Amino acid sequence: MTTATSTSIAARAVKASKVYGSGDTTVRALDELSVDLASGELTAIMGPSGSGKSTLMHCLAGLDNLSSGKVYIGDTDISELSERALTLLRRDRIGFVFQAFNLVPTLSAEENINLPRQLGASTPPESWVKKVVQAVGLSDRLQHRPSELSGGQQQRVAVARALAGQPEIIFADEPTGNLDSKTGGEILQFMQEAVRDLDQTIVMVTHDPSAAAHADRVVFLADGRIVQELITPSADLILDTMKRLGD
Amino acid sequence: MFKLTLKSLLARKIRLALTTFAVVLGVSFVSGSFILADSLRSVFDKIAIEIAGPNWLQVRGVETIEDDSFSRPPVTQSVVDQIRSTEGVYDAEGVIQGFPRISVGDELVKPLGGAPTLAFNFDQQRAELSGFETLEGSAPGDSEAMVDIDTANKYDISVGDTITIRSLQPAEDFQVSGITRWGEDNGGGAVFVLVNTATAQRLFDYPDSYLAVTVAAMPGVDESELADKLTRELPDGFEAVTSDVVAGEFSDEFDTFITIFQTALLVFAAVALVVSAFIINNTFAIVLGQRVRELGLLRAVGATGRQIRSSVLIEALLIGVIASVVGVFAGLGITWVIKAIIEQAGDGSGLPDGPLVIAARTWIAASVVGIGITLIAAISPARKAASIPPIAALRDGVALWSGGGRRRTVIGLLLGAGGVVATILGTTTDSGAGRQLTLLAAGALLLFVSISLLSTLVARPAAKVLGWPVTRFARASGNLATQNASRNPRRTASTASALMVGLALVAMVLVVGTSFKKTFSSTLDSSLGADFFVDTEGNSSWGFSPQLVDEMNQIDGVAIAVGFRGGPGTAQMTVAGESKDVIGTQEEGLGRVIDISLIEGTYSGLANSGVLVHKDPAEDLSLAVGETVSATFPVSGPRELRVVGIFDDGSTLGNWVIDMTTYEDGFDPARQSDLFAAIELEEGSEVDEVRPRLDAVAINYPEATLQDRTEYKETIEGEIDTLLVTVNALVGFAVIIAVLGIVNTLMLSVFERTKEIGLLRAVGMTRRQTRRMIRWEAVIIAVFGGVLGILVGILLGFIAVQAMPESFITDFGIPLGNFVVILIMCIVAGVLAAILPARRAARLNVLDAIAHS
Repeated sequence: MTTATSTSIAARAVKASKVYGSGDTTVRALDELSVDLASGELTAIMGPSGSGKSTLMHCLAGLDNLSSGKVYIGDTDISELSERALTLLRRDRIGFVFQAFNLVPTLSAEENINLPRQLGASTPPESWVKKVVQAVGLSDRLQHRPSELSGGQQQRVAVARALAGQPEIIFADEPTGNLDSKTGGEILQFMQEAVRDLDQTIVMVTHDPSAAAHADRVVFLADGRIVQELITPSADLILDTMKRLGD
Repeated sequence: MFKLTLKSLLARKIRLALTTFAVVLGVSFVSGSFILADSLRSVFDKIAIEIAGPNWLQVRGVETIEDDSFSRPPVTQSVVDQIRSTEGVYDAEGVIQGFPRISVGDELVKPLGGAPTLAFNFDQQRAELSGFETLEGSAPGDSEAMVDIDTANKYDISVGDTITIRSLQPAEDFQVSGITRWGEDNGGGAVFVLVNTATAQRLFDYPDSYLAVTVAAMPGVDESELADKLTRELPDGFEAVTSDVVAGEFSDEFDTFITIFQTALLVFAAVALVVSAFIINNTFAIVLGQRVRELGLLRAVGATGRQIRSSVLIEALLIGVIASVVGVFAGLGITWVIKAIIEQAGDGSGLPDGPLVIAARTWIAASVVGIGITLIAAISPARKAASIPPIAALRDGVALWSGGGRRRTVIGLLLGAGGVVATILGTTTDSGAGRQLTLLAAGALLLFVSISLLSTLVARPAAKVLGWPVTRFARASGNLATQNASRNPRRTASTASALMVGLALVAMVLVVGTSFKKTFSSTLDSSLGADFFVDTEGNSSWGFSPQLVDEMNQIDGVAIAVGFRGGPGTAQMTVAGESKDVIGTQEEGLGRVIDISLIEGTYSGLANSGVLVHKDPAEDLSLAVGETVSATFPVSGPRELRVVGIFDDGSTLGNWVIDMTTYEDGFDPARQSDLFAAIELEEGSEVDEVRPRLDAVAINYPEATLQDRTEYKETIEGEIDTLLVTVNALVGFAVIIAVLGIVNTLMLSVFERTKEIGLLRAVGMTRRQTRRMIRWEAVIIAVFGGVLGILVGILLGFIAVQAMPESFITDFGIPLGNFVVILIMCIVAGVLAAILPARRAARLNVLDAIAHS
């Protein structure tokens, strides 16, 4: 999907519901939520704890099943897919960046970046991987193990790993949650550049207004529903919106 | 603290189960050894009680050689008459016991589990003195015999059928006149055949005499007083004892056998326990490593190091207690397995049946061993855990165990050196079998611990090397598996070491066996010149009738048949106060059919009170050719023998060889069996041409097996193989425990790597790839253990072969084929060990795993 334009949809949720428990203890993590996530954008999903933002991301990424409704990655209805097909979809079409523990400790930075390919993902052009590695700017540390890298460096490698597979969409779960603001800022910058310069699609869950301020679009969730959307907002506007929504 | 320990144990049920299981297997082997030995003992005790039965006395010749029951001179009829007329004696009956071979048609009747085939005289008029009861038919007349009920049932023998009895006389057919039973239930698995007294005296060469006399006292007469009186009044050289004494002698004899048997089993049990200890130690180390933060927190909130240590030891104690109890019951199952293994190895005869006995000491031994081994294995992890600083609660990745520290290396090297020294001392010094065995065991144990410590150093490069082909084979999962196997060298080394212990012993046994085969093969080529060999069927020490050799010598085409007499059992003469195994044969043809490599002297002169002596005893006793040596024989007493030759090769005939006539005079009629015979054909006779004629004779001797050179070689090699399989099957328990150790380590590693596996799954590792990753890791660990085991086994085997007497093993051989099989089995073991952990890893919920903190 390297030809995706900014108008096409990378991922979509339709009347997505996720219910935990039953009876009195029922929790509706997602409540008939529908959202379209456009290609070529950095989207931030925000919301207070328990708003369903992580659940939404997990369901979009095929890590979790919906109770009802549908999720599409591109044109693929992933609620229909088998476990194995989901795994391959994640491998070939989705990238991940987690808050922490993004890297396999026994593999070098380079090996981590190449992990999806090693696992059998279709190979993007060599030039692309080179480009990504260059963009990460860690050429001299590629042979190091994660334990020999700083937290910021580790997250850069994680983002590079996600990018290297040339996925249709990258999901990032609090990618800067474990970093100080300066290092976090660098990572966000890097992600922004990836979207802008490399034409990538990133969906990021965060509760940090300054992180969300890097996004093209910010979606606010509460009680499993979308309650507000902002386009290229400033950190202050985001903070205000959060306050208003009662975070 | 205790409550916390209990909770932490219960919270990790799988870990608890796996650790306990490793101890259970070790303990069950120990308790199984005790149960089996006690059960056997109870069988023989029961026989002993029946022997003691209603009180009776036995009159017999006094042993002319101490502790050799075969050295009692026969009791003549006149003595029996004297006993009968002694006051206080109700009745007396002479007893003749023979060791015949019985066959039905051409099928040899075989007793159970190494028990003998016994013939007794039996006459109706004194039946109540015999201990036998007629169940069917009647007492035997001339050319008639009775057989015991179990044999009759097993071989489908009925009254009126014909059986063949072979003894010192030519084979004779007897008609079955009745079915009998000894005591209450025929006991012990022996085959009994009864003939009348005249026949027994003729068959077993007791002219007008008996082996012993059974005496019943008058009612009201005290047996021991009567025994004293008889001993006083009878001629010199005879003694009377009560039935209790006879029963005691019987028990002692079997007790010795059972104790040896039990000791052998306990050696295997010890191996299993050592392996268990490795696994328990490793499990505790891993688990505590994973709990560093938790333990740090405990320390931070005020737990002392001592409390942490006690908590770990209490955990070990609980595991030990549970495992011991379960282990005793599992021992019942192991008893069954051991029995099956031994039966498989034997001649389909097996061990006598009887109820399984769990004696109190089995419980005690199991508890001591189970709890002890668990506690000992937990000591070092407990101490390390106690040293965890409170700061560990706050910091991630406080390493509890470093890789291969210098101290570890030094200790490993020291222990290894100690092990080699102890092993060499154990094999070279002549400080008694018990002490040598202890030294050997200690040496091997030290060596094992040393290798397990040092293997940490090579674990990482070894995993890389072993992982290389795997990486070629399965790229991503192979690469990850290799990395995982080498990421924690200590863990990989410990896990592999457990397997190493078992496999080292297997490899050692194989090396010794192969060396023995090689030695035998070259002996056969260089010193056995005969064209045919006759061996005892089933390789028992009962031997075959000397008639066989006589008949073979009559056959057209046979140049000479030479018999080697020395059974049943082992014939021993006394030289310089010590018992020496001796073989009787003839000088004619000896050098040709079997070349024992004379260094000095000749074979000729053997017939003239000569003796051939191996160079070792000749040197010990400073004997030279032409000198005389005094030897004492059970029957003929002291005798001067002239040394006619000194020989080098003791592998076939042992150290002392005398002439057949000397042997016949020297030993009682019951000990006149040939153990072996060698046949040389006349020049120009073809093997194929003479074979049918030899077979025609041999068929009448089902207790003997006729083989040509090729068959003989195959048989001996087959016997060695059977022995190897038996020993290795018993060592196999240790290997099974070690494989469980791999399961344990991997299971714990999977827990530990939950997040990592979740990440891999999230970025697209399929379940199959996940399983493959775990599987290859297991295979790498198992093959590493296998390679270590084989290397250590070759070392131990080399030391063992060097230590064995030259008469036994001269060549050294390495069974490459077997080692390849072992490595393949390691791969299979790794795959099997990975099943559960791999499934667990593959089934991990990705979301839970990445959310797991």
